[in-house]
Amino acid sequence: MIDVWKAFPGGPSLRFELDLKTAGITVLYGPSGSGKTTLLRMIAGLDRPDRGRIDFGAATWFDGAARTNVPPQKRRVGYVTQEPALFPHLNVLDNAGFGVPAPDRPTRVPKMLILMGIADLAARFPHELSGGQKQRVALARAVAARPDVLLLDEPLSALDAAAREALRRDLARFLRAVSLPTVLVTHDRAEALALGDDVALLAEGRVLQQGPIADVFSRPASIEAARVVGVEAVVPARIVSRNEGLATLDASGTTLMAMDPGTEVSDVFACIRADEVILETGPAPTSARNRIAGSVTSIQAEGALVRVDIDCGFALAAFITRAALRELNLAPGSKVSAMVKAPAVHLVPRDVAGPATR
Amino acid sequence: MDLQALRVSLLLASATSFCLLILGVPLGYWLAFTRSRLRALVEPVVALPLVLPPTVLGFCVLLALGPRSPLGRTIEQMTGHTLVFTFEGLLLASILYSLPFAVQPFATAFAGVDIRLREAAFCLGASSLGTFFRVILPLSRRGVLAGVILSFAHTLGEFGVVLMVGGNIPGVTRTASIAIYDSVQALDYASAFRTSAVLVGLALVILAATSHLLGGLVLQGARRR
Repeated sequence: MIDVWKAFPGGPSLRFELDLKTAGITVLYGPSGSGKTTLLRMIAGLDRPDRGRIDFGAATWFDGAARTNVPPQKRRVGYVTQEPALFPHLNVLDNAGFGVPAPDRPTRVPKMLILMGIADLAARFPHELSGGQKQRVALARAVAARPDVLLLDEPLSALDAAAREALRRDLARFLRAVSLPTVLVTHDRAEALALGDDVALLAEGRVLQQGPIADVFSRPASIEAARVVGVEAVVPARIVSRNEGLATLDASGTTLMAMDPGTEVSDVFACIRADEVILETGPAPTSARNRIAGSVTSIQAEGALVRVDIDCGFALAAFITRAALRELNLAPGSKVSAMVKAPAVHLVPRDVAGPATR
Repeated sequence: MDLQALRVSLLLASATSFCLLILGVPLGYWLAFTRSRLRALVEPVVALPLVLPPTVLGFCVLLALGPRSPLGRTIEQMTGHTLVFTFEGLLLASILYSLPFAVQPFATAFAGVDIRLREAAFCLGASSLGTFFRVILPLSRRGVLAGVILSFAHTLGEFGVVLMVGGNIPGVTRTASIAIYDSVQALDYASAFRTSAVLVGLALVILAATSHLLGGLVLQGARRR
């Protein structure tokens, strides 16, 4: 449990209250300036809250009232920053073994390097590595020290697109292999959805909402939360078949068509943006591959548009014009069909969550 | 050429550099990382020899070590003699005189180590001391080497302090720079020239070796602050 205050002189004041899980991957998601990194540094013990407390499992790491402040050395955290802070005077093997007791290094460290796919780089020095390779070393180094929790601060955002994609896949496998509780800071939606089990939405130094990632992203609890996640249904689904570049999905009973993402992974999140959903009430031929039956749960004006929330086995939102609303004569309880073109169903492969964290 | 005086000079410079390495590293570390308000007081005291005339510093040490000061009396009671006009007294004065030439490059080098590397070491379980020896010191070796060499070279060239504290005892406190002065006073230009030539050669060798080792960083280390 985290419940902390921190103010910066002449700057923002932060007040975070969230559940620090001891299992699975918790994503701290929010725009830059929301205080994600400061929160992570307070968990690591590198920044000191003004007051409040931080408990991890049974251990109290910070208690302002009791003047308890466990130093980072004693918290057993694996901390990985955006720019990998490798020791420039040590080669890859010695970097990865830095936090490992000397007798355990020969057995533990090479295994980590293999797991991270960098065993052949063991003798190289940091200046001889690419950005993606450095980040792999930083991850191996953090995990080799056998931390109780892994803290990742935008570990992929300094990489170019290709390296990021490759490392994201490997990171997912790596995290599953080591099964460490992890807190991941990111402002990348795809990264959050691909890796996270739970998410805490952060904005302007506050936690807006915390919960299972699909729930929070599909059903933001407030306008502020919706602003952070965007209006997009996030539906857990399985790819049941692939044909001619199209994938057929089973989304809790509803069948969806989407473009085949081309990965071997079959667990995905199907993401559907509200402005790509078309509503109709009567049967008519359509080119849209997805026609999803449901009933209207609520109708809210949002700027020039109207947001219609539909329950079709999962929560789906559609932005339509006021004129369309009048023509369709919609009201809560109305039966509608939601149409989505297959390319508008964005799939995020979920190769992270093992059975234990699902 | 006064070989005896050269020997005293080299011995004094080596001993001073060594003592400053032992004393200056912790002091430099403290100056680089402390958040104490005391730093505002200690920093100028360390830097004082940079601007103080050597004779003033020498005079102060002379008074402090003399039999009339409490410090001098304590030392006299403990060792049976005062430190004035001894090699040990001269060494003490040299350490004070060369203090900034060692401590400032040390502190600059320590403070220049990326804070993220220190934080990474802390999170990997390394104590402050462990982080110092495994991360900060290896990454500061140029600055440490520069400080040692600068204090060696600076001690080799000192004159005013030696004259005030050491007196001019051949084989004990009579250094090369004093020997040169004495030779010139005695109009023995040939001897002065030979001793000077050795010092010039020595200085050039030190600077060349250092710039080879450090890539021309010796004076930068001193100038950066």
